[in-house]
Amino acid sequence: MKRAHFLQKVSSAIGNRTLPDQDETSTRQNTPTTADLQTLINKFIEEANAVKAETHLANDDEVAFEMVMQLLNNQTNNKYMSWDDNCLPIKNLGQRLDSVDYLRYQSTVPRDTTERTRAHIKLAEVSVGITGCNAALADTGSIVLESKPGQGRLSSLLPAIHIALLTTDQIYPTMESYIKSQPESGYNSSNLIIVTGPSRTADITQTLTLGVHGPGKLHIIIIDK
Amino acid sequence: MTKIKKSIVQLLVTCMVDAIRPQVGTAVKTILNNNGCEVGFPKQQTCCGQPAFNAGFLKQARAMARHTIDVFTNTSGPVVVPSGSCTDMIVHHYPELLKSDPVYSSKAKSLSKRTYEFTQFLVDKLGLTNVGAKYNGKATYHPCCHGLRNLNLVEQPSTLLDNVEDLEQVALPCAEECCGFGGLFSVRMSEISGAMLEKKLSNVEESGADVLIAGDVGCIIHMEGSLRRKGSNIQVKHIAEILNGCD
Amino acid sequence: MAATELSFYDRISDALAKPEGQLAISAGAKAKYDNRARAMSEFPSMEITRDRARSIRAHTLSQLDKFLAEFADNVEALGGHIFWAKDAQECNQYINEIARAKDVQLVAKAKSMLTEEISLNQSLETSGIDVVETDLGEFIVQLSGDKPSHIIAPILHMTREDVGNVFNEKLNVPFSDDPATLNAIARTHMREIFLKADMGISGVNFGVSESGAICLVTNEGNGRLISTAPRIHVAVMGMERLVPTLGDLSIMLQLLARSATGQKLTAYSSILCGPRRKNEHDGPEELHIVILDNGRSEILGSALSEILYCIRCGACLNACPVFHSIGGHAYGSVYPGPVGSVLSPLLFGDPWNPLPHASSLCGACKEVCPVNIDLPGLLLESRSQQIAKGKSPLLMRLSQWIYAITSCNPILFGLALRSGQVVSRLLAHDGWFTTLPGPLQGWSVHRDFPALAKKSFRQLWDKPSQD
Repeated sequence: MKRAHFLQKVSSAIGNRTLPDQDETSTRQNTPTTADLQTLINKFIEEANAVKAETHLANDDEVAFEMVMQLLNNQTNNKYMSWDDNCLPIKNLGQRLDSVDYLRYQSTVPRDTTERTRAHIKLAEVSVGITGCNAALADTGSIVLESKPGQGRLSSLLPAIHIALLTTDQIYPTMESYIKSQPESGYNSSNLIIVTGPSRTADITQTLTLGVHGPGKLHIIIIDK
Repeated sequence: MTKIKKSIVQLLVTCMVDAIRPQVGTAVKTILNNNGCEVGFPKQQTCCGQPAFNAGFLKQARAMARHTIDVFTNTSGPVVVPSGSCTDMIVHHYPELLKSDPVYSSKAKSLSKRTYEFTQFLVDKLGLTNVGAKYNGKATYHPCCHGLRNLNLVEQPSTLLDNVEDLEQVALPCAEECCGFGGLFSVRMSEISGAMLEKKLSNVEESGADVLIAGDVGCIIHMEGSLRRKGSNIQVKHIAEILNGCD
Repeated sequence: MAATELSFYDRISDALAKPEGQLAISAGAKAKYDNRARAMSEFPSMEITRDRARSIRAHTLSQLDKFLAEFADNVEALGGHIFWAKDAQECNQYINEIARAKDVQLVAKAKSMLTEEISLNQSLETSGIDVVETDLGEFIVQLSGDKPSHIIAPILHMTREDVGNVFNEKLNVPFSDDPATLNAIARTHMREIFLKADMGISGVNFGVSESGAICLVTNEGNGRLISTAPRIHVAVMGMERLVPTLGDLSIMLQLLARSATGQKLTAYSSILCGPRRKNEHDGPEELHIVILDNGRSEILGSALSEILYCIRCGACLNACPVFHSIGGHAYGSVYPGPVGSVLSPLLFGDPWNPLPHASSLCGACKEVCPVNIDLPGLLLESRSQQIAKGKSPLLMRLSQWIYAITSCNPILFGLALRSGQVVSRLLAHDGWFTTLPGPLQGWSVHRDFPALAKKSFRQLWDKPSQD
């Protein structure tokens, strides 16, 4: 169907019946009080834990690095995938992991069809994905990730374990406050992802199980610099 | 008992009370009289038209709405109805049904403004909390849907029942779930209505009450009709019957 | 959608004859209802947010043509393709054409009621394409050749033994009824599908017109996978599913999650702006968004347009005592429950006309609707439209007229009361009728009917002494 014809049908339907236009009332004003940072961090941790994400507090890069190492050490294999180093808050994370024999998989997927599937199958061997965050939302315990050059989507999606590195200055009280201060986030990235806890389902008799298709474990390392 | 100045109220008794359960009307009249109201009963009143309205027969519903409006327009004082459902019909649906009727739209609005459900009238208009009733029994209360959701009848019946002497009240599990009456629904979709009724009655049994109280005679005969068939000893009473203290 | 062979009434009887299924449904729906209630009670300024959400929906629909045009322009500017589909046939044909042109063998699908509405899977399968549902519940439905019974929880009607049996039979795995084990089996099985699929197909929870973004929410992550791994992503969007801005979206996402499952947010809210961009690591090479009318423009111009406010959270199903009693399948429509009772006759025609009558008008649905749709009002409107078109049995029309004429004439009404009293005296036993004649027997199947009082209230009023 032609666009013009389609839209014409819609306009005449609206004309048929004057629908109420109730906007511009701006009744909603639950503007979050500007909470202090510590309250925000505490709220974020409380909510993230409530949705079964595991949170870890680190005072500096070194402590955070140790935490990443520890989480990787618990794995059966040494393969991981991640965002590019310059997109992560821990300096030279990839380089340092490489130097202690961790194997970073190339996370750029070829555009060609056959190559693409082959790359996917290889990436499926990886057990851990490491990403940074673009923001976090305290009142829902969510982290926000933007997919853009250096920040692939699959690192937070394919492996069974997702380690997200968050700095405390990235925490916003609510989704509204985040959007208000970063309005371009809705355009800038081909995929803005709001992650609230690990992958889950309750399809079978309302019983919650984690890790259906996405990561079953979500570790958030909160770096307070 | 609080005596307030003698005022006139009109009783819209509802067709169900009129035909099937007149003692509810009598109870309402007695309670109102005892609380300083002179009660009028316009004898031209019939049915408010809700069964036609709910079935989608708007022409017929409008005709009955106009008739009811005519009957009460010639009277003065608040109109009191011992049914949440019929009150909802008059208060909310009459103005909507007749909004493009040049003669009746304003009359519908003014009737809507002076119509009250029975417990609503006692508590909100007369300011009563205790009507001096006494009833010996273990009771549970089912809030009928239209009263509950469309008139927000929560506080009024509970306040009045709390002050009935000797009345032991027990909680009804899933109290706010519909009993399955729904007027014509109970005949047209009788299997579904029957299944909902079963669920409601098993909750009533679970409550351990020996008397079930509700505010709409439609829901009452629906539940009572099944309890009777099962040979249950649970009584079903309209709230006015309890408040009238008829043990 | 084709009408099933059984009538609505037969399906109701069938449903009520399966107590285990009904128990699973009412327990599941009740749990969801309670979760919603808890999540909403913890929501600061819930009523204000709900009003705000309603006004966003009203505003969007009142200028839907403008918002659709803006949305489409933005999608195209981002390198996405827009296709305007009048109906199911145009939509399915377009998707089939892309699949053929791009040599698509395997499709991974996220749960979408809209694609159920237009039977997209069957259409693709007829062309020899493998389509795999990736939502766990929907996958089980597909494996067992069943139909979803709830718009959010497709296998609400199944027990864990049922699921265990399906996996055991269809996937050749040892029987287990442990949800975690079943989940692990599904994860392994599905992994390969995601990695190999040539095309991902999803619905759209919301489109954002100011940016041309579409938002998919899933708890499992399958929505993210099918919009990331396959080289082509096709999203089918009902034309009403827009919100003007990202800020509006944030309100809707919170209400949707709380209303649907009682979560503060769904695990993954994925906001997609066009296909993979230059220098990006991954994402689909092509994005096609099909904007589907399929009868919606007619609804938009009708007195039932408010039903298009719906954001498909399923809260009205979970609150509905009729849904609790008969479950989703009995409705015979992809859209069951109160919202489905309004929508189905509009989308699928006359065979679904009995649905709006399957409501006691208790109003529990309206109470929980996150955008405050007056569902009982719409059910009434739907009923009265049927009557206005003469779509009611003759006997019903006749009796409604007799009843109205009697009720408008107090003398006739008095006479009717008296004749009722005579009949009661003659036929009732001990103050009750145990059977009622003709169409009224529906009542007496389940309960007795009281005899009319010996003296009506109006008679007592005249002569109170006879009380």
